[in-house]
Amino acid sequence: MPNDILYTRRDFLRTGLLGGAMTWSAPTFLLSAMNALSASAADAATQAVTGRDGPILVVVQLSGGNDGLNTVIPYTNDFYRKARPTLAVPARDVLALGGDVGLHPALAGFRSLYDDGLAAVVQGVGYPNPNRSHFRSMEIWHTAVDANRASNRGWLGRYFDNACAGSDPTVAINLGKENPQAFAAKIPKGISYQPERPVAFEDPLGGLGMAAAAEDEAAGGSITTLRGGGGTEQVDALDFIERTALHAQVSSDQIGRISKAYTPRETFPNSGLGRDLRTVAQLIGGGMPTRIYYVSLGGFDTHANQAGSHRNLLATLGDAVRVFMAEMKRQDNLDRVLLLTFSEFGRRVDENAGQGTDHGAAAPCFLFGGAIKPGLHGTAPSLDPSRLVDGDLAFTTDFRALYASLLDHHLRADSATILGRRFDPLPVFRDQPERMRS
Amino acid sequence: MALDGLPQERWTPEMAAHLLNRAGFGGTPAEVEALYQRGHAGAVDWLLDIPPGDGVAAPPVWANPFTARRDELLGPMPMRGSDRDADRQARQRVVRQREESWLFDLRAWWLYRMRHTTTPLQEKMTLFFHGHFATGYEKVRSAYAMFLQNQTFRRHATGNWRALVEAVTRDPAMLIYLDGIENAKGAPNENYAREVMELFTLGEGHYTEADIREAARAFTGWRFNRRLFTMEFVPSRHDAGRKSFMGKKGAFTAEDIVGLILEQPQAARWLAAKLWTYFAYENPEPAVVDALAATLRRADYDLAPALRAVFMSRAFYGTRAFRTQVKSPVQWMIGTLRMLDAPMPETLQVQRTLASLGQQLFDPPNVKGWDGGITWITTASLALRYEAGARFAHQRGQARARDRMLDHRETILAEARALDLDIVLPSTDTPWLREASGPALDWARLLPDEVRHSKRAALDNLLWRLYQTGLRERERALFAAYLDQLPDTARWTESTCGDALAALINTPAFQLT
Repeated sequence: MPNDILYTRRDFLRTGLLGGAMTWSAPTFLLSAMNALSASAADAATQAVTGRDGPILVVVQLSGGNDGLNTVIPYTNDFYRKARPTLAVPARDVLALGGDVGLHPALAGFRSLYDDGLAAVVQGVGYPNPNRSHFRSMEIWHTAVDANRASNRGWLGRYFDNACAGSDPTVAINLGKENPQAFAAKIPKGISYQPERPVAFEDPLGGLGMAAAAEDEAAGGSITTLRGGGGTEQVDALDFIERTALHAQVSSDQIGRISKAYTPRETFPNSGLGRDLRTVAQLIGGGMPTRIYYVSLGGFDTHANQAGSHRNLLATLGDAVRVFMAEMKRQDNLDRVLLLTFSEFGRRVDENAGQGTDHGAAAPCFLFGGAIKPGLHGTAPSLDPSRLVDGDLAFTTDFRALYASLLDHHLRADSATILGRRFDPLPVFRDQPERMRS
Repeated sequence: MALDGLPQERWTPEMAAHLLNRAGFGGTPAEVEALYQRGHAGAVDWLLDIPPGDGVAAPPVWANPFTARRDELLGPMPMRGSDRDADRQARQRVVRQREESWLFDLRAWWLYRMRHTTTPLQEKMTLFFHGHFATGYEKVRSAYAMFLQNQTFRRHATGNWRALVEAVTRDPAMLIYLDGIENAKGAPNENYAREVMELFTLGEGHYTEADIREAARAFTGWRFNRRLFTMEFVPSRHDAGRKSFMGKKGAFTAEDIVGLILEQPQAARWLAAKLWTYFAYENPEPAVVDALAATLRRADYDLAPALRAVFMSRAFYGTRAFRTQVKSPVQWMIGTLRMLDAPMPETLQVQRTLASLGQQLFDPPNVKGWDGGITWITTASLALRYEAGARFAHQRGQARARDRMLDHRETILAEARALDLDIVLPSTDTPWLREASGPALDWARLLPDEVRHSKRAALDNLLWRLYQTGLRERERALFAAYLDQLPDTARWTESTCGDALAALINTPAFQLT
C-alpha cells in the first residue's frame, strides 16, 4: 500500500471504532442549533430501531470495468482463445461451473459458495446502446435510465423515496468517502461511514427548539445545482450541508451503539474490501435497521499488463465475499441478506498490444444469498466475431431486469414505479415464479 | 449581456474577499483591504500579473537533476514487485518508500506554496489543471514525473490552452497513467485517446467510438525515455497511415489530432464551462458559456483574457456565485490558514487530514478528478472536517506528527543501510517543514487587547476574519449566544480562544466560500 505513513492503522484503532471524543470539535449547543437551522431537516426524525428482520441488500461495486470474460470464462470456446492470445486462462486452471463456463482460478471463494448453493451467476448483463465511458456507464447503472437519458435520482434513491418514507438516514450506508450516485433521492437519505477514520458527533439532536427558527429568509440566495444527474434541479448547498450535519449527528450515535453490540465471529481478510464487509457484517449482526449497504473495490481498469492485477483483484473479491457469507450464515441472516456484484462494463473481447483489454460492454453479475436460485442464469453472449457489436459482447440481460427482481422479490418494493417501467424480472429467487408476465 | 462587467461603483470589500477566495485561497483582512483598494480592474490585473518565480519556495533539491543524484532521480521506477526473491523484494520496498517520501515532500512543498504564494491565481490554476488532467501517483509511481507535470501546469497557469493540451499529450506522468506508453502501432491502446476527448477537451457525446480508435492510432509512437525522463517519438512505432477523424482524412499525428479537436466549437465551450464552474458556480447559463467560449476563441485559446472576463463579470459577483461554493478540502485548509495568517501545521497531519477528507494531492480518485461541489460533503467527511477544525483551533497533535514522521524516516534509512543501499531522502531542513516548528497561532495578534474589551468586539473581529463575505444574521446571533457562555474576553486563555475559533469554523456556513 502506498504512503504507509499516512495510513497507519494503529492511529485510527487507538480511538476505537467510533470512540473519538468529539465534544471539543464544536460545542453541543452550537452543533444542535446549527443543524436545526435547516428547515427541511425536520424530515430526518428517527424511527424505532427494528433491525432484526427485513431484507438487506449489499451492493459490491467493481469500479473500472471488470473483465467479465476472464471472470466467468467460456474456456471451451475457440473464439475466446483466439481473442486472448496471452490473457486466456488455460482450461486446466478454470474452476468449471458446467455449461461450458468456469470461474477464474482466483475465485475459489466464489466457487465454494457456488458449490454450497448460495451463488447465482447472471450472464451477459448490460443495456442497449452501451456507453464505454467509465463515468457515463457508471451513471447509467446508478440511475437505471436508458443510455440516452439522464436522471438526477439514483435507482436506490427512488427506492428510498418510494418505499422508505420516514426512515432513518441510516436506511442506507456507504462505506467510503463519496455517496454513490445510486443514493441520490428527492429526500436525501443514506450516510457515508468510514470506521477507520473514527468520527462521532457526540450528541444526538438536543431539545433546543431551534428548528422553528430555520424557516425565515434565505439570505444570500445561495443556489447551486446537484451534480452528476445531468438535470437542472436546484439544491441549496447550505441546506445540504446542514442536513448532512444533522444526519451525522443522529446516525453516529446509532452506529456507535450498535457496533458495540456485536463482533463478527469469522476472521475477515485484511484487505480494504475485507474490512468493509466486516464492518457491514458487524452492523447487520448488531441489528442496524439499514436496508442497503454499499461497498466498492476499484482497480479493474486493466488496460495494460492485466493478468497479475486482475488475478489479485478477483482473489480479494472472492475471499472477502466468501467470509462475509459464512458470517451471515453464523448470524442466521443468510436468507435475508443478498449480495450483488456489478461493474460499469466488461472489457473488449480482443486483448490489446499491452497485454491488457480496453473498455467493453456486457459482463456477468453475481448474486449471493440463501434466497437465490443457485446456478447459471441468462444466456452467455456469443463470441463469434460476426455477432460482436464493435468488438464487444452483445448483452442478453438488461441490468434493470436484475434490479427489478431485487426490488420486487427481495426488497418488496414496486419495481415498475422505481424503474419507471416494468421489466420482466429474472427468475433468480427460489420462491419466485418461473417467469413474471408484465 | 451574459458577461457584462460589474459596474465600478458596485465594487465592495466583500467582493474583493470573494475574488481573493475564488481566484486564490483567500487572505487576511489586511490583504483583502489592500486588494479592495486597488479597485476592481486593478485587483484583477494584480491577480493576472504573474512574474516568473514568486520567490516563495524553490523546488525540493531531490527534484533538481542538476543538483540531485541523477542516477537515483532517473533510475528505475519502483515496480509492483512480484519477484519472489526476498532480498530483492526488500530492496524494492526501500526504493518504493524512498519514492513515497519524495512524493510526501512534493505535497508539502506544493501546499506550502499555496499557503504563502504571492501569485495565488497561478497556484489556483495549477490545482485546477491537476483536477482536470487528473493523474495519480499510485499508477505513475514516480514522484519526479508528478513534479514535472505539476511544474508544467504551473508554467501554463495563465498561458495558452492549446500549448498545455499538447504538453499534456507528451507528459510522462499522464502517458504512464493512461497507458500512452503502451500505445503501439498495430494494436493501439485507446485509454488516452478516449479520455483526452471525453474529459479533457470535448465532453462525452461530442465524438464517436470511431474517432477514439483513429485518434489512438495517431497517438502511437511515443516512448518513455527513462534516461531523460521525456517522451520521445519513435517513428517505427507510429502508425503513419491515413486516419479519418472528425470528418477529415489524413495521415494525422498527435499534434494534428489536438488541433482538430480544438477546432471544434464544443472544445471552447467545454473549457469555458469548466472554468466557470471552478471559479463561479456550477451549471452556468448557456449564454455565459457561449460568451466565455467566444472570448477563448478570439484569443486563440489564451487563458488570461478569459480569466479576466470571468473576474470582471457581474455574474461572478451575483447571488448564484456568492457564498455558494463548497470549499474543497485544500481550499478549506489553505484558506483557513491564510485568513488567520497561521503557519502550516505539521505536514503529516495536514496530508492525513486531506486524505481523510478525500483530496489527497497527486492521488485523485480517478482520471475524472474530484467531482467537487456537494460531493465533498458526506456525513463522514463533514464530521472529519469538524474534528480536524478543532484539532487545528487547539493546535493539537503537532509534535506527535513530527515525531512520527522523523521515526518513519529513520526506519527507511535503517532498512536501506541493512541492505547496503545508498538512498537520498528529502531534506528535513526546508521552509515547508521548518515552519511547523515555529510559533503557532498567535492569539495576541489575532485578538489584540484593543478588541478584548467586549465580547461583541472580539466576535466582530473574528467574524471579519473568518466570514469576510458575510453571514446570516441568525448565525451571528447564535455565535453571540455561545460567546455569552464563555468567561469575559479579558480572561480568555489560549484554550478559550481555541474553543471560540473551533465554534466559528465548525459550522455548515464555514464550509462554503
